[in-house]
Amino acid sequence: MSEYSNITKAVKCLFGDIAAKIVEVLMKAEGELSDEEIAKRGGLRINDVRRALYEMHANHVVSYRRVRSENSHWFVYLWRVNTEDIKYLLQKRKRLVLKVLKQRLEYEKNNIFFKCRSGKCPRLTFDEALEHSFHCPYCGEELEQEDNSRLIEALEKEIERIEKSLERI
Amino acid sequence: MVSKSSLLEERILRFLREIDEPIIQPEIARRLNVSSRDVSRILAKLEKKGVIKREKVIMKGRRTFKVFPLREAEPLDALLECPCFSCPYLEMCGEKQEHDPSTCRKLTEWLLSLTTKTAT
Repeated sequence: MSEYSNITKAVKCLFGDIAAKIVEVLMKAEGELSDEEIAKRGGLRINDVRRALYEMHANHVVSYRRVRSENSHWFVYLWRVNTEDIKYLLQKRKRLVLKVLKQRLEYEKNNIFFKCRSGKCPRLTFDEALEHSFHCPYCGEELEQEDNSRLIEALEKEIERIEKSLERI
Repeated sequence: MVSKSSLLEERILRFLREIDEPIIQPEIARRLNVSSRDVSRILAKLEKKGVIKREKVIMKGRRTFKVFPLREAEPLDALLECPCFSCPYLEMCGEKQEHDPSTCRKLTEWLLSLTTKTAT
């Protein structure tokens, strides 16, 4: 997997499809492009391109250089991708996700859960189940203790994977 | 706007990727023909970003740094599957907050899908 596709995937996840397309066009061009040129090359609407560019600029994913057009004497904004800043942003995001997953892991480990046999209703914690005399408040069925060991295992694996990826860029 | 330092930052990074081995800080300045002050400032920035690692060394009785370019990360596909990555509320998410990871429906659904994956 190349660095190029990693970056577009990350941008797609953080800013959406249009932003990913813009980054793809800019990276293919290996230089600077005006918003109009990006829209033309990517087959996108100019307003969508501008909106996505401003959003990415606020997060330092893209930056611009302002030059005066020789023909019209208007200012033209030439955009480029800050690949290193995307990685930095992604690292920051990974740390936040890691924090959230760790909190979830603690919650899973520190609670006992109950579920009804239908499997369609939301699960309840011990306190909630006790409050409803161990009967599902949604369908009225009797509640059974849920085994969340697989869920804990999956969470631990995911946390380990993010921690490993944080050690590198 | 693209600043002079960000252009130099890109140049230094490209150079480090090309050589792909540890190098002494003053050597970078010499080979790229830029001031050691600029190199030092940019390397500190890159270290903060986690792109490189620096180690203190003593060369000819003077303190300097050995620079280690770090390798690229593994493919992101698997990591990005987690719904939290694209969640607009991630920065506000926390215990006993309006968006709580313990009760998040999307996260629960994804975790349950993981458990069925491992079970099959």
